[in-house]
Amino acid sequence: MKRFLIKCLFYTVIFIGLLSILTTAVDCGLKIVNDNLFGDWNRLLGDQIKDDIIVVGNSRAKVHFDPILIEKLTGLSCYNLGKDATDLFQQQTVINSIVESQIHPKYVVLSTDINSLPKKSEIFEKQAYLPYLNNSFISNVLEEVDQQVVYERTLPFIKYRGYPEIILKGLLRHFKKDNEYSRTKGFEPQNRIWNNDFSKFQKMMGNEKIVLSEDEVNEGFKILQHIIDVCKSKGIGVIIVQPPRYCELYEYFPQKEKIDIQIQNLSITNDIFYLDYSHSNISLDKSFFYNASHLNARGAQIFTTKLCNDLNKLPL
Amino acid sequence: MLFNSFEYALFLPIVFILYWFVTNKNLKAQNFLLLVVSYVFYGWWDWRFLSLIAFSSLVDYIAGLKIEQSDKRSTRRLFLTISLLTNLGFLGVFKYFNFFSQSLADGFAQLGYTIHPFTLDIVLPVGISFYTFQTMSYSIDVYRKKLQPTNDIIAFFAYVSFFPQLVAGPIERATNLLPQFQKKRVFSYEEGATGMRQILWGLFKKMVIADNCAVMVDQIFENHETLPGSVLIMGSIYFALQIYGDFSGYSDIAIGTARLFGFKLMTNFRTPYFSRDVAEFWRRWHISLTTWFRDYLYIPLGGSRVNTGRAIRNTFVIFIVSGFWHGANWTFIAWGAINALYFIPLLLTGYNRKNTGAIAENQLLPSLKEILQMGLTFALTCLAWVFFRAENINVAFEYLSNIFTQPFLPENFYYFHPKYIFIIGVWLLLEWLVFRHDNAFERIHHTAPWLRRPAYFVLGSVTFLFMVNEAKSFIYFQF
Repeated sequence: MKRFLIKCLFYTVIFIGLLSILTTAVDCGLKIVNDNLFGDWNRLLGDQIKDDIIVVGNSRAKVHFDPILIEKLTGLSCYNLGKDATDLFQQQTVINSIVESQIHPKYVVLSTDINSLPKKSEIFEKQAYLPYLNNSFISNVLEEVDQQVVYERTLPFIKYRGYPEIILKGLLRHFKKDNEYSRTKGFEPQNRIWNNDFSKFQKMMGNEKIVLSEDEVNEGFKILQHIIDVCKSKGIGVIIVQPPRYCELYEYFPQKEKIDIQIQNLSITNDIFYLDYSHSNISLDKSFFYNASHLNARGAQIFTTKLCNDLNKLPL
Repeated sequence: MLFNSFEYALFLPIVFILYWFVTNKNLKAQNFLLLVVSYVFYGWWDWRFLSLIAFSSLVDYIAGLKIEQSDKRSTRRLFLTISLLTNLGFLGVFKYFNFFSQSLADGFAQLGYTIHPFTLDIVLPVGISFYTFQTMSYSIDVYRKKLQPTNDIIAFFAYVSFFPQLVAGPIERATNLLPQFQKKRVFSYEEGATGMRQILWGLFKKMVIADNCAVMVDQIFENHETLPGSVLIMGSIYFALQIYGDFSGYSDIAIGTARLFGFKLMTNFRTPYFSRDVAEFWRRWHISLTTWFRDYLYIPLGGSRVNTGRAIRNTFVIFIVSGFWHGANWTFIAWGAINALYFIPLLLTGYNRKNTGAIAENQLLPSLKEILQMGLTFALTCLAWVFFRAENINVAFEYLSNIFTQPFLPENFYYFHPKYIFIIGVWLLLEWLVFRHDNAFERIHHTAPWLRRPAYFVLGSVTFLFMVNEAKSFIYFQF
């Protein structure tokens, strides 16, 4: 028995030790990878983003806001940290990272709309966070969405289970430099034309509407207020922007107008700017979109230009 | 509580310590501990299930004693009947009631009459098909005087609820397992080490092979109307590997765990996909269930020692009942019937006992003839598995016909991802080289340490590396 227990302990210690070394090696490798999944995070948490404006939001932020154009038209440097499939709750990981970094932007442009409010039940592209799970300002947010994060930040190597490609990438980065980053300061313009996503959506929905519960709306606004408070506490200005979506989509959100008014009131209460482009001319023209929720490259250029004109009128 | 969960990773060492260090001096205390932890293990799913297993255990415990106490055949038969009816009654209500009710309504609908099926809104208790069969085998063996009933109620309850094999087998015979509860267990280093190896291998099969194949299987079966024929064939292969990895993986973990506590459970799988014919497949697949049906249903019906007509009937009965045991759906019955159709020609020609020796004994590779035989047997098995996996009979037929009616070649190789082909290839190689031997886990102990120890690390790391993100439950839990 003694021999068995000693052997079990021996194997366990060696196994955990080797896995810990492997985890560290992969973490370190991924933290210097420069691709679309890890590149922006690495720059943010490596204090390499020193821009005046940082755009935060979901996929609409990522494809709508052109930072090069913003820099050109406003004279303020800009970086886009939009993350696909994130709600306000998960966007706190970005906000917290901005706040925790040594260099703060002058402004955070928060791309927000009705879909940002409800808390999602899973983390999209969780792999992007994995090297940084030891950062409590990231893991504390993620744990509330996915409780496995508790084990993943504590036990060695568990977080990389099911991601052999990511592990390989992290390990190989120590031997070979990569440059697969294809975005422009986080912006990913979509050179696409209108597709049939919206008609599929309309067929699926029929006469149904998307209605948020009172709890979802209240929770969403609580988080929005928290984000504003956190930014303000560090002297970071907040500008809430509601980007345009295709006008016919709004028919499926009966609460939109009410929520827009709430956002408006919140911005007045907090003395911050709110720019609402959801009913601009852009939203009437399908040719600016590739689906009902996202602008294509041409639409993004027009929208960003419009935004810059309005930003230039603000006392920033 | 799943074997592949953090809760179990904590549960097992705690039970191990309590078993060998706290209760080891007293057999009764040790059995009581096993009973308590087994009930905790089982109740983790739903504490309400405990009442069923406790009741089933009590009925069979009393039935066993009453059968033994009486000399009158009618009284012995009465208590046996009570035991069988109780266990089959539980199965009937919890597992099959809604199926029969719906089938009856569908039958009347075919005749033009509309009746509303009366269905029960109840949860299927995990493992009910396993432990009811285990307790029935006890009552039957006592009745047949193959076994003395026990008056040690703790040992009996612990035997029925023994946590490693409670929810997905092996379905143990009382003649094998119950005596092990009645004698002192002594810890053996070799058994413990072998058990750990078997657990590791079982985890690999479940978490790497089965769960990764499951991702592909779900996608392919969900989209079978639009996928090309080659992908649909691959889907049936993935499912064959999924169900084997899942179920044999569970069995390995169960047997390995039992070894840690000084128990020897029966082998449940013997690399069935290396079978040279369907009869051999059924001697190697889910051995505990097939032998159960052989001993308690097939042989009492006369087996094959009857005229041809009855032999065919008995074969159909066994396979269809076996299919039905798996679930309350016509697809399982169809699966059973198809296997019966495969088996009957072999039975009638006497070829069902032809391939009983070891495959490629003392050889590294099988002969060309054996490869062809294995290939054909595997193909027939995969075809039948389509019925096992499909949602209903129509989907199964649609799936199979789409193999021939859809374009055959794929537009891309997403469903033939190198990662999956690599994992499966390595695994099959290991199964062939190492695990086709009955004593594989013991043999590994004699391998050189410089080879053996890094291999454990590699296997453990690969299990971590390739396992899917969510702990998936075992397929056979639904039975």
